[in-house]
Amino acid sequence: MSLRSALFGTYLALIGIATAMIVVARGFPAATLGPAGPGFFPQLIAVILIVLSIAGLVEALRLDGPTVNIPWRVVTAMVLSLAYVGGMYLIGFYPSTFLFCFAIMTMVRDGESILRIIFEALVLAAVSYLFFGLLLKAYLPTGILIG
Amino acid sequence: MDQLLHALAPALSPLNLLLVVGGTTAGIVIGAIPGLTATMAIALLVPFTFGYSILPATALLLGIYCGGMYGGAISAVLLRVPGAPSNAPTTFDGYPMTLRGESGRAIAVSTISSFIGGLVSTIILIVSLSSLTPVVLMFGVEEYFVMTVFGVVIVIALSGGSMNRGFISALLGILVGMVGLDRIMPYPRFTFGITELLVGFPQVPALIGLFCLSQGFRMLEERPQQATGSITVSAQSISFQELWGIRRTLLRSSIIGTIVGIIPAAGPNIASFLGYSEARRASATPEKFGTGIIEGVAAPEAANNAVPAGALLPLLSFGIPGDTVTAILLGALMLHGYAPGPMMIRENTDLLYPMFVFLIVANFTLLAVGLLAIRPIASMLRYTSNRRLVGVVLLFSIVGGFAYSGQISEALITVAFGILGYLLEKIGISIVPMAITIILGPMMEVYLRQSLIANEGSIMPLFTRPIALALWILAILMAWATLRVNRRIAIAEAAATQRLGLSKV
Repeated sequence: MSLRSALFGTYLALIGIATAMIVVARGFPAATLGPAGPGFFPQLIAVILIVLSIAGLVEALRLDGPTVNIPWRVVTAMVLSLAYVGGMYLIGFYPSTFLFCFAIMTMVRDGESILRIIFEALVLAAVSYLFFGLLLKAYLPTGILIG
Repeated sequence: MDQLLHALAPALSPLNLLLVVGGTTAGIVIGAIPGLTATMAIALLVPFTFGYSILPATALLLGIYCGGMYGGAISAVLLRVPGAPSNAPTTFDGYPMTLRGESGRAIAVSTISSFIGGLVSTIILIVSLSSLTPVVLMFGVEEYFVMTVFGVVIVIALSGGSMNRGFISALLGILVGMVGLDRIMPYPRFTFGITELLVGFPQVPALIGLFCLSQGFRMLEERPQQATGSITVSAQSISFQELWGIRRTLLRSSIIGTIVGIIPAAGPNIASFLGYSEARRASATPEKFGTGIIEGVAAPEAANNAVPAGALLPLLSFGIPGDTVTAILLGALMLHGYAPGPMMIRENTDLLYPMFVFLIVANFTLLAVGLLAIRPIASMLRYTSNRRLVGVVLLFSIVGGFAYSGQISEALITVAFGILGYLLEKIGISIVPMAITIILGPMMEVYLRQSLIANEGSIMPLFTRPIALALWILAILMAWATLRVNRRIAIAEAAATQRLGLSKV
C-alpha cells in the first residue's frame, strides 16, 4: 500500500471519529459550574482534529512514491499477541505463555532445532512466572476452562 | 541541605539500596543490548514496582533510568552498534579506540564521564529545585495550562517529521485521556457502557504497549544484530592526568546535558550530539575527533547521562514530563498516588529528597559496575540474539501490562496500543507526542476548565497574566529554536551515519 493511501485512510478515519465525538459530546449534560461542561473539551479537540486531518489530506496529496509494507511476521506476531491474551483468559497463564513463546520463537528461528525452541520457550515461560508470579506476586490467570 | 541529610536514612535502607543498585545494573544490561533503550527498560520494569511502596519503587525506577542511559555506551564502544540512538556519537571515537586495542580505556572514559555527567546534573537539580520552589508556588491554573501546552508544543517540535502529524499524534493522546468519568463534573464520557472504562484507559499499560510492544513488533522487521566473534575488554584504564586534561569537556557536556534534559522532550539524543559537536568546536585539535580520542567518548557520554536529572526538574517542579522516560515515570508515580508538581515540592519532601539520594547512588553504582563488572556484561552481548529478545520483549510487555491490576482487559489494552503504536510509526506519525499527552491531556483539560470557572468564562487571563504571558513567549521561542536545532541534529546524524556506516537502532 502506498503511504499516500495509508495516510488518506487514516485521516478520513480520524475525521469520522472526530465527527462522532462531536455528536456524542453534544449529548453530554450542560455545566453546573462555570461555562465549560464535560462536552466542551472533547468538542474543542475534535474540531482541531478535523481541521488538522483536512490539512493532512492536502499534505498527503503531495506525497508520491513511498510505500508502507507490514511484513507477515509482524502481522503474525500481532495476531499471536491477541491470541495470547485470549488464551490467558481461556486456558490460563502457564500453557498460553509457553505456546506464545514457542510460536514467536518458531516464527523467528534461524536454523535452530525444534527441541531447542521448546526448551527456550519453557525457560522463558518459567522466567516470566519467576518474575511476575513469585517476585511480583501478580495475579496470573488460571483460565475459565481449567481453573 | 538539612533535608537532604535527613533523607539519607530512609533512602539508604537495605531494600532501597538493593533496588537502586539492582535497578541501575538491570538498566545497564538492558541499555547495552542494541535496540533496547532506557525508555523500554523503564517501561518493561515498571510492573516490578507495583508490589512496593513509593520509596522502593522510585529507587528501582531511577536506578533503571540512569543505568539504561549509560548502558548503550558499552555496545557503542565494543561493537559500533549504539545501544540507543543517543549513544551513536560515542561510536565515533569509542570504536576506533576498540580497534586499536584500547576498549578498556574507552569503556573507562565512558563510565567516568557518565558518572560525572550524572552527578553534576543531580547537583544542579537539587540547587535549581530549591530556588525554583517559590516561583512554582506562584503558579495558578492558568500558568499550569500554559505549561502543559508548552510541553506538548515542544514535544511536537522535537518529534521530527511533519508538524501536522505530530499535532495529530498529540490530539490522539488527548482523546485517549478523555475516556472515563469527567474529572470536574462526574459524568461518563465515551465509555459506551463498559464499566472498566469508567476510570479511563489505564496509562501504564497504554504506555507499555506504545513503547515496548510496538518496538517488539519493529524488531521483527530488522536484521538480527547479534555480535559475532569474541567481545573482549582490554585491561588498560585511564589515568587521573588524562581525566584532568578533559575536565572542561566533561563540565561543558554535563551542563549541556542538564539544560537539554530540562527542555521538555529534548532528550538524550540531542544532548549527546550537542555535547560532541561542542567539544569538537571548542577543541584545539578538532581534526582528531573521529580517530579515537578520549574527548570524543567523554563529551557525548557526560551529556546524555546528565539528561535524567535535568528531565526530572520540569517533572518535579511542574509535573511536566521532560522526555518519554519521565512520562512513564510520571505514570508510575501517579499509580502510587503521587502527582509530581508544586504540591509534591511542598508536601512530599519525604519522597523528593530521597529521590536525589537515589540519583547519587545510581551514579556511583554505574561507576562501580562500569569499572569493575564490565566484562560479564560485555560477554553477555554475545548471547543476545534477535530471537530471544523478541520473545522476551513481547512476553514481558503483555504480562507487564496487566500485572498491576491482574485484569485481562489491561493486557488487551497493551496489545491494542502496541499495534496502534506500530501502525502510527509506520505511516510517519511519531508516538512520542501521543504518549506525553496521554499523561498531560487530562491535566490540560482540568486546568483549562478550572481557569474558565475561576474567570467567569473568560480566556483572556490565560494570555494576560504576567507569568502566563511570559510562558507563551518562551514556548514560541523554544519551539522555534528546537525546530532549528532538530534540523541541525538530523543533518548531523544523517551525515555521521553515512560517514561511518552505522547500524540503525
